[in-house]
Amino acid sequence: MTFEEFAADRLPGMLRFAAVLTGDRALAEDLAQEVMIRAHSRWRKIGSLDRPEYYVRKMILNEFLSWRRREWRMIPSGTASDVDHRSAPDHAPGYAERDALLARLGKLPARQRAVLALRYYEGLCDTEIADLIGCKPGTVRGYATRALAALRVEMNVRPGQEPAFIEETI
Amino acid sequence: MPTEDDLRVAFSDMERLTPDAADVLRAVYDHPRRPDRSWRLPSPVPRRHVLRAGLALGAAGAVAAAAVIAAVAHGPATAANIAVPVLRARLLAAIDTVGGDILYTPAPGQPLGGGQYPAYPRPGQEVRVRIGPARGSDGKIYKDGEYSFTMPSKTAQHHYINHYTAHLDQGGLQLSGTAMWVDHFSRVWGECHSTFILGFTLDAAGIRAEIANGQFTVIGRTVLNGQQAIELRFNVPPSNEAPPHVTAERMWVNATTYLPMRDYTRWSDGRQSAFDYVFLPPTAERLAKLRPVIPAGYTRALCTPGSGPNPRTRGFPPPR
Repeated sequence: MTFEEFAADRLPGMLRFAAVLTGDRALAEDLAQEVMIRAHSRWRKIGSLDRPEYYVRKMILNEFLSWRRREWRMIPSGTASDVDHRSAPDHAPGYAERDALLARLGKLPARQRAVLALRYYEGLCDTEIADLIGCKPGTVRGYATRALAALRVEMNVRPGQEPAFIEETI
Repeated sequence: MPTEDDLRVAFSDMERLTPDAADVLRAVYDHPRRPDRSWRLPSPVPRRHVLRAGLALGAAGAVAAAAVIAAVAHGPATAANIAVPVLRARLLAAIDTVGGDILYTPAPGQPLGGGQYPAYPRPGQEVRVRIGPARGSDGKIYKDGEYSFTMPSKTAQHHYINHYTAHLDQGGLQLSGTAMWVDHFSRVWGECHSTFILGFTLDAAGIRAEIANGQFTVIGRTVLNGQQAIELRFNVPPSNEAPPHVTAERMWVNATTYLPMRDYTRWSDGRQSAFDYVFLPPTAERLAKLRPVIPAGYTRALCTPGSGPNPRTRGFPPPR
């Protein structure tokens, strides 16, 4: 697969993944740019892989996970409002709850947020997530447990249904 | 209480934040091909210095082996045989003397870009951090911005410092303030009340925390940018986090003034980054240059969660 073919077929999906990981358009753009510039320079090797999109997605994930330290010092998080308060906030309860959830998502440590994005957006199982991040499935479950607790998310466990994850003592 | 389904919806909703593929590809194709490491580490400590260190340590006692700086023939007398506690005190005193300066953190060999004022803010003091200006491969400025906030109380800072080594790879000092940014590509600007995190990185509080905690070992003397320097290795604790994580961190401080000169970090995936510390007095001209300029005719953007200057933009220090 050439880089141009990859860009045409797979890049939109990679960009959506970057947007979900960061929760910010400008950050997602920079994340994707950084990774795609590196991928482009090594495309001879990456393009020969069976699933180059898997490799690039892993590059995006690793790049995102390494941002928190030793990069730049300010990380926007939570809510924002106009300084002059001219924009009227939407007080509808549904939107307020969604905004609160997004704000709490923005405050999660990078690994916890990444695990949730991979599980609830990409639909990956814990083993696949562990393979991508480079840790054990139990560690993935630990990240998810802490993240869901921080988000105060109610688990959709119904009678007779296996829970989405099992909390482990690490 | 939100459910897992709400979480799925929230993530799907974030697809609206997807950047434009054309912009990304333009950056890819415009990017000049450069070697991964456009900067150079200072030359390692010469072997004879190591030998001298060994002799000096032998005389002082093996117990203090890691806590003594090697005396070198051409170094200033003040830097000879300094125990770590003394060195730590001098470093902290030096940082305090430039607390009211502007701190710039350019990539080695690169011109000064954004900066922070004051370099080491006191509680209650107004702080401004310029993020940018970021230039494209064509040399034009395409993003710029600034964060401003009031430095939190000492209690909050102590919490930050006390948890410093415990949270190397995540978190930071939670702040609220004003974020302002200018996007010269889209010709929009914004200014929002926002919350953000002061990461454990270039800021003076972070440097001070690392030094105050004594989490470093003295490597020895070297020359950096033509000046005598002391090389320190920070003791990075083993990380139980998933990779990539920081595996090595070094700092060079001026052997005469004891001010930080350069920081170097290596990651578990092999990547490296470096930046220099430049402290300059806050003249009116320099302070004026810290403020991003909003050209006439630009449109003001609405505030959304996460609004603010892009903290991680191509060309910002430190480089890959």
